[in-house]
Amino acid sequence: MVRLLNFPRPELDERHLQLRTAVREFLDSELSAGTFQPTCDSWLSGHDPVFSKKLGQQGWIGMTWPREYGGQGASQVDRYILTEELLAAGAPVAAHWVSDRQIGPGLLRHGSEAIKRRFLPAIASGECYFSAGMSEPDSGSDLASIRTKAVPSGDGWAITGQKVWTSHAHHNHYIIILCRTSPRGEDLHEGISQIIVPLDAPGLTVRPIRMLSGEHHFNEVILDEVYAPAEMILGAPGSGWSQVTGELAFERSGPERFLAAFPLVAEVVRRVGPDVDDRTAEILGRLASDLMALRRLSMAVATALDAGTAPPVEAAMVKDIGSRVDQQIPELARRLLPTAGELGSDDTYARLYAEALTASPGFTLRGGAVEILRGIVARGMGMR
Amino acid sequence: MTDESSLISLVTALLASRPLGNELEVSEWHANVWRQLEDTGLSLVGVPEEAGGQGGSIAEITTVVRLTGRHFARVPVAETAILAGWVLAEAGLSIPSGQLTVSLAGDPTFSLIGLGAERVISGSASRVPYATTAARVVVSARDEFGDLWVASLPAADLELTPGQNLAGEPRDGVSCVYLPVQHQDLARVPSHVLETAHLRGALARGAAMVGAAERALDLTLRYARERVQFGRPLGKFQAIQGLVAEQSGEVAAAAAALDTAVEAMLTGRDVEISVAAAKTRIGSAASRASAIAHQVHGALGMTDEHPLHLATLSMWSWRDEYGRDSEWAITLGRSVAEAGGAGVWPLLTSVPAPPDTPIEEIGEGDDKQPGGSPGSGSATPTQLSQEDEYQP
Repeated sequence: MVRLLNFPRPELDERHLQLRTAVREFLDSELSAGTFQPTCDSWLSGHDPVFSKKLGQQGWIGMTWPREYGGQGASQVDRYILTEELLAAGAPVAAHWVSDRQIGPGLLRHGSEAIKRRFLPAIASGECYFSAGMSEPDSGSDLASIRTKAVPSGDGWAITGQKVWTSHAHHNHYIIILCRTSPRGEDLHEGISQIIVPLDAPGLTVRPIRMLSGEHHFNEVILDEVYAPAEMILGAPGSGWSQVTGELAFERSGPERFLAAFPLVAEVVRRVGPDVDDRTAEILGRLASDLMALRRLSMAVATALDAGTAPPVEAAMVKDIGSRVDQQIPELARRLLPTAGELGSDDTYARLYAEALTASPGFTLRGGAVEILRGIVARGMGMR
Repeated sequence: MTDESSLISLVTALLASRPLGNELEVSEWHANVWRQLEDTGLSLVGVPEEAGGQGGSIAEITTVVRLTGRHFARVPVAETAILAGWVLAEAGLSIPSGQLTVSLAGDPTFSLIGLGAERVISGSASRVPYATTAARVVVSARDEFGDLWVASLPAADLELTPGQNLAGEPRDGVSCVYLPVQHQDLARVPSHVLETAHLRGALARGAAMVGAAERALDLTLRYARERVQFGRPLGKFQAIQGLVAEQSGEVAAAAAALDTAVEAMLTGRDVEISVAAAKTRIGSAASRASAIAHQVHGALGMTDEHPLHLATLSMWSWRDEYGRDSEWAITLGRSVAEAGGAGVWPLLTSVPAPPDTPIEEIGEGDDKQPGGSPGSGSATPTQLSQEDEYQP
């Protein structure tokens, strides 16, 4: 049976407009105070605890969580508006990004009361940062094949294994390790659990992975019989797979999937000036039409989440389309303007172009490679 | 009007079971569809009741057009309701029964001349939709003082040169020389009416293209499930899954762009950039979706016995009518450039706008439709039916 696509109409009102205005005013004042410089891919590269703490003080981390856990009880559409404003401005939001987007919602849904009280208010105030320990050297797209395992030890677990592509493990406080707590049976997805581990735990080593840009935000995390008390397991042992995949609609459909290179777009528009030839206008117009449609689709997924539905196929679709549009932005830039890209350059265009270009291969890989997403979409559309 | 889902069921029922192949059967089916659209009042939805229309909003008539696109109904409902009916109402002229069509160039190709107490019109237009089947052709004209007019001309009084677009719809040459025009068929209009007509035409073709793209996707999904090669259905192959997923995404993006443009029409805000974005995005989706649909269907999709060609020929025609996607992209891109580096983000986030924010006067107050409630209801679902009445 072919399914209906669930992209409900976003219901915007005056409050949403006020939130957008408040975020813009905050960002304008931070910009003029010189506390940050707009960068591309700032949700991965811009790790700035001082800035994150300011957002926490505004109530803009974990804003969708209940007030008793430090949140604002805001909607997913509110969070959509907040996050798209932060990304479009190229603000340094990497310190709290993963905690706000998927760790916090995961703790809220599956964590014990003690876990929720201990971590969520600290995350929401911008003082506690988590990394997600998912991929391994032999497990990329095939995540269920992970080999890191936790064995009972005393009244807790001893975890041994290796994680890769762990962003900001060298800065953050905790990591949630996806690991096997029982051997794989008939069902590949059974026996997988999520366990919270401090990043300074004995037996845990963080090693940098330098990217082609020379940047360091990814790490290897090596665990050698790292002890975690029993209460640090998230949800029931063995239910980690459904917990992780259940958050994918949050993780996949957000505006970071199509706005990572947006600061470069704004700079290109600034450089070409108000009087453009037809060729320039057509390139800008086609890009604008893509971004406008993507904004609506992403906001529609947020609207569906607010209505209590989790549309995984639609979320995968938004990420598939969005990351491909985002990825072509450096290419569009160089069709319009000459550049010698240079990271760290004083020339804003040269810098933003280099940032976007060197990050762009990752756009269609992280959070589900395009090929994986398209499989999810096709199966959702009835291909079996 | 009725709510959106019952409108969809009503029109879908009316458009079901289009025959394929036999020319006589097909033309009888089309005549019958038109009769039913007229009988049910659907052919004048979106035109104010006081002007002789059926009431309802641009959202409802756009849904009807989207469905005619989805079901390959070759009927001038967009011309009659979205264009001719609307412009006659704007001009305060009466709305005759029957099929109506327009040639509303902003720079008119017809001239109006006073001859004593009488006025006569001369000029010509090419590729006028359904002129050969319409009762009236509403044209824009300029008089000797440079003022703009619309004239409602009986098609029987015009010289018609039949033509077709790729989809087989009438696109006819129309001309007249010193044709007397009755006083009650003539009204002066401000230029923004003709500009808005162009936007409405683009929106109508966009809606029809979304319908055709939905149908092409439906056919592609069905074929990929049923066609077996190398012992497996096509849909089992990762390469085919990639194509089908991309096609689905194109349809979703096109539908999103359409919904945004319809909402802009309802509120009267950001109409030009929303329509420009819609015709651009839907046009590029039509190109890519047609190519993928044909690739998945193999050679069968290129035959006239398989219905896919009805969808792709439609998209290939409509993407070039009322402005190609390239032209609309240029319009939108100029707005982006004018907004500047600091203004591009506020421009992109101005739509979709919350419904109760103050309305900025854009000089096109004609878009305030009765019955519009943009903040309510849910977007037209991309409803893909398992059933398909065609058996190639």
